[in-house]
Amino acid sequence: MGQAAAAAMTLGLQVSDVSGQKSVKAPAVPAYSTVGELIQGLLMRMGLARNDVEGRPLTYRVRLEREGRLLTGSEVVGDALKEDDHIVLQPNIDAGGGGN
Amino acid sequence: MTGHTHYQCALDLFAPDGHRPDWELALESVAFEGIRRGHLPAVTGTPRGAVGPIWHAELGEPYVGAFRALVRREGGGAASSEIPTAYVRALARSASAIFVEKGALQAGDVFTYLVCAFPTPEPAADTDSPDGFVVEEIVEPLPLDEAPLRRFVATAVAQGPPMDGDVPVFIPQSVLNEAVELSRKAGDVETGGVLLGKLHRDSALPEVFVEITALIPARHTVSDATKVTFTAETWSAVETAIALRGRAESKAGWFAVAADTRAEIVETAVSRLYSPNADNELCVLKFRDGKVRTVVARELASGRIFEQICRAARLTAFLRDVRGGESGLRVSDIDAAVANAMERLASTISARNAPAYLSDLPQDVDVIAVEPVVHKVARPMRYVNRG
Repeated sequence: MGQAAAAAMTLGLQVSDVSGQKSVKAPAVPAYSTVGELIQGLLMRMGLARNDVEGRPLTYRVRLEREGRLLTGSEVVGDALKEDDHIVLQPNIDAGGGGN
Repeated sequence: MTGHTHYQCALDLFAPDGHRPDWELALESVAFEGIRRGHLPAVTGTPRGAVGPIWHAELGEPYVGAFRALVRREGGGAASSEIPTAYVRALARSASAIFVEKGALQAGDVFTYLVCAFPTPEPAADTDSPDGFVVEEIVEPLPLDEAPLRRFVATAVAQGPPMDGDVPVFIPQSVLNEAVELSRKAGDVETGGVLLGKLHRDSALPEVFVEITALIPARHTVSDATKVTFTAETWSAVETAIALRGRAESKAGWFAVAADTRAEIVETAVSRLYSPNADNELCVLKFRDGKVRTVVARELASGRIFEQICRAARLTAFLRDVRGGESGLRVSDIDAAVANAMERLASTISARNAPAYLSDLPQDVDVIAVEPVVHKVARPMRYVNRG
């Protein structure tokens, strides 16, 4: 497979966490991966919490800034995203006292 | 086994089962402190650093007395801070489950733990990317406006006892009022909101402080009586609100108001002020003719007092939250606020001004002394019937 073909199968993205304090460039995300797989890979690389302070797992979704919509985990990166898109990882957070 | 037995357990921080401390928050805290004091550049990004043990003063290695977190930034600058072993308390609690399962501890038993640390080989740099991509961190300047702290202090009222290390946070009264209104409208479920604000820096001190500018009610939450969950849709709605406002604000924090205690909180306050058996006597008036009259809290209650109580309770809850404690208003907050208000009321009455506060005093007999009532318990806890 030539370099051009490989490049066509990847996308460059900019990714931020919900606070805006952590941002990364991901220059070559496989276009064939799902959004769910992308989230798992980004959590690890960005050092984002997988659990809340009570140890409960956090679930994340991706917001596509260009369209202002949330992507589903089953969407394919190459179909849903374009080169240089900016996405935000948005978690579900228990903000109440239930966990206390 | 009894509930009074104490245990001394060792907590292995390098257990192979994955129960390792997450030092990310500690490093972020140290990094922010470094930015506040001007030791680190004010930039975004994941702080790089290390956490190592400070050996226990009496027991020595491998027992840990505290941790030291050190953060360095590329291009210069470093900051460090001591982290108490309480940082790993949640892990200790989690580890204690094993002892409960084996019957060595009963649920609810008090136990003590010691933290141990053992050196391990430095992990190899993670250059492998099995799912085919790598990331490069983007480091940007923090959005800090240069502003003199004294300008904000001049128009603010300090609330609560100051603690070393507190970050100054300025909250307009309108935001607090909105939070109260939000809670009222929520009914019997928990509710919450996101606080927007701006970071300021006073380089002359140096200090970084927060100006809260608005409250965005949390939409698209999943709420019940005991918790509220902010969903991805919640954050999207907040992003939209920030964009529409167009004031270059940042998310400064979020909060929840617990519904399970709302009725309890109100009932507690009312009970403590008005219940005949609530130990709410304030003082005893002594008249010239030898008669006495007891003054109780409800006689001096007013809208102003209620407002002061609510404000004090909210402040206590807020300070606890920002210091990493429980979120939301608690019955204990209102209880303490009422106790403080009653102490103030008791000291308000004097022999001279008593007739101004109490309309039913005899006109022809002077009050010659006011003696405070000594309560059996200074800050009694109350149990409210919720049935």
